[in-house]
Amino acid sequence: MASPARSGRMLLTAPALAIIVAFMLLPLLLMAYISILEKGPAGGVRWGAHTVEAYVAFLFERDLADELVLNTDYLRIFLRSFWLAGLTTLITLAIGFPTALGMALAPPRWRTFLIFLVTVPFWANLLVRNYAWIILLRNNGLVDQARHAVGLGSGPLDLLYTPVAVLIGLVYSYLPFMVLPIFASLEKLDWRLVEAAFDLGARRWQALRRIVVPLAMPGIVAGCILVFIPGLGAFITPELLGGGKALMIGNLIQSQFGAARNWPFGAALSFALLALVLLAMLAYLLRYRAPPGAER
Amino acid sequence: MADKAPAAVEVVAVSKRFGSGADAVVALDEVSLALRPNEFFTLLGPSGCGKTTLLRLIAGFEQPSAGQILIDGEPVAGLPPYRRPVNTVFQSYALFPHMTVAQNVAFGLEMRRRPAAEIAATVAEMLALVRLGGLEARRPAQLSGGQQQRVALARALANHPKVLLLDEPLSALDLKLRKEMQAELKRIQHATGLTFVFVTHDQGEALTMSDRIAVMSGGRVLQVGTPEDIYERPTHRFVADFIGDTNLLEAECIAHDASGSRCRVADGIEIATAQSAAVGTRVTLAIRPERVELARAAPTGWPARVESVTYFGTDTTVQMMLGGAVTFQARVQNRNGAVHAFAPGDTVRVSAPPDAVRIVAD
Ligand SMILES: Nc1ncnc2c1ncn2[C@@H]1O[C@H](COP(=O)(O)OP(=O)(O)OP(=O)(O)O)[C@@H](O)[C@H]1O
Ligand SMILES: [Mg+2]
Repeated sequence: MASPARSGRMLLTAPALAIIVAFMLLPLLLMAYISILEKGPAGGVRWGAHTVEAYVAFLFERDLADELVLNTDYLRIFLRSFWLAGLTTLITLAIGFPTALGMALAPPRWRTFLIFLVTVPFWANLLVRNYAWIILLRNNGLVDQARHAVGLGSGPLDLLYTPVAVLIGLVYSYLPFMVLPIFASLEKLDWRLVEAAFDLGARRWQALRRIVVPLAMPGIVAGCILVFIPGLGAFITPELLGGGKALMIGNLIQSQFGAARNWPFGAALSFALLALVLLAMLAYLLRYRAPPGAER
Repeated sequence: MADKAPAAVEVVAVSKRFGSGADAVVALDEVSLALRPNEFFTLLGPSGCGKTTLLRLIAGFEQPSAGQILIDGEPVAGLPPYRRPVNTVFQSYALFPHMTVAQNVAFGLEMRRRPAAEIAATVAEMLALVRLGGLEARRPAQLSGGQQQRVALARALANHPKVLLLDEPLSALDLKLRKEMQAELKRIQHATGLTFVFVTHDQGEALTMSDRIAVMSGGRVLQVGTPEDIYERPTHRFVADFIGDTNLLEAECIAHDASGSRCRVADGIEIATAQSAAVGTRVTLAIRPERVELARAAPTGWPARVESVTYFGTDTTVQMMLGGAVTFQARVQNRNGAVHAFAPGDTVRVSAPPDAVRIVAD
């Protein structure tokens, strides 16, 4: 028997639950179902015809004799995606933490302006921003011109359409998602604790390592999740700046639903990605369920 | 200073201004102090008088705008906090929430790269000193206010500072715990032999705990002395008023000889003081209520009319009107039913011994 208070609470969460079911759970279930259907001859699916072919296709392809042979193309794209998203996370963290620290230490009347600056890129569409990077990075683009102007080598750098270009684009796109959560946790930080650390003999970097970073850990972790997971699924940036040579999972999935007309495979890829992300989150939760700094 | 050893802390004509131009705040105005080694020294004053600022200057969190500070005879200008032989117990305790009690206490020693065995031994010793043995693995959030206070104390003491600065360490505790910690602090100060600089705005705390007290007001030190000096012989109107109850009377000095002076408060009311003042000067007199003597039918003394009688348990306060215009109070110990001896409307005779009448500066 549910107590009145309890059923009242359930009633209050009902709208949120309804939204989650309608907009998250149902589409997910639909995708899960599509991933175990046969693909239709001209795209779409054949409803009612069940197969795990789509999951097999991730690692194997059928040769002419209809034998399964190992095909690592897709696996390589997955690995590249994890690698690029991981590197993006590390670089945004390396840039974002000092930025957030600087913002948190700035006089309060400047902070609003600094937050505004960090969010300025959101004012332009992601597509537009990526095209801007094309203009910057292409041969004899602005980066090359600037380099030549200050006498740093001649000839093009050939940056565009490389994984490096994708990395630059990803770091640029996701930096605010790293800066803002870290800033939020640093802004709440009790700086008297840092003063206490100085009083007890800590140098600046010791205070940073032993006090500031552990206490900002929730923000750091949130920032990493907010960069890594969307980074894994990114597809506009690798499409435009990678020029098809640095495909990521997002591009692969998109092409299965688009040009390749293989919905089940696209759905299966999405689920493989989802499963990996869930595993990563689980591993993180197991590691960090205790408050930060509890183990040592 | 009578003793030859260098002062534990010497503050020489230190001023501190915050901000600049028209909206500059003068937090400290030419403060000079000399603290003796092993002394329990208290900075007493109302909110905003600059107590915390003075501690922060000694600890090295702020630099003086003028003047200098010496610790153990060494000028410390420009030395960062981590290079000063001084540790602070913060008003907010500032315990590290992500560390256990033991890790908090060990922090300073780790920063100074002491060997692990020494750290473990010191942590155990300090926790025993503040009577927190057995709570090593707790986190600050799992401790009571008094326990947190002890951790903060142990953490500061573990660094073996020469001077311990305590910024209102007891103000967050309830009365009972506060009394307990007052005794505890005194015990620890004896056990460690350190110089304590203790900040409080509680005059009772200052009087009971201190070897010497500096009374501050508006960024200046008005008087430095033993609790008895401060209470019995206040030099400033503010000091007399801030510490304990006091009668303040405006008077004019009318006679002056070797044993003191006579001052006139109002027509027919003349008071003798053991201090001297030039004839004709306007002075303020401070008289503690408990030094006032009341009698029903004494031949001498100034006539006064009783306005109200208030019972306080151990004593009774009698509120009077002197010469029809000056309010005045006396405190009578409640022996032999003193509370019934006076009633509103009575006429009484009031007197005070000359040494109880102090001339105070404004
Ligand atoms: N960083 C600062 N910037 C500007 N003004 C300050 C600063 N710190 C202190 N002040 C001012 O200096 C004066 C003294 O402050 P301080 O904190 O030393 O007072 P306090 O005696 O410790 O008071 P309390 O008992 O309330 O703690 C106050 O007027 C305060 O507003
Ligand atoms: Mg203060």
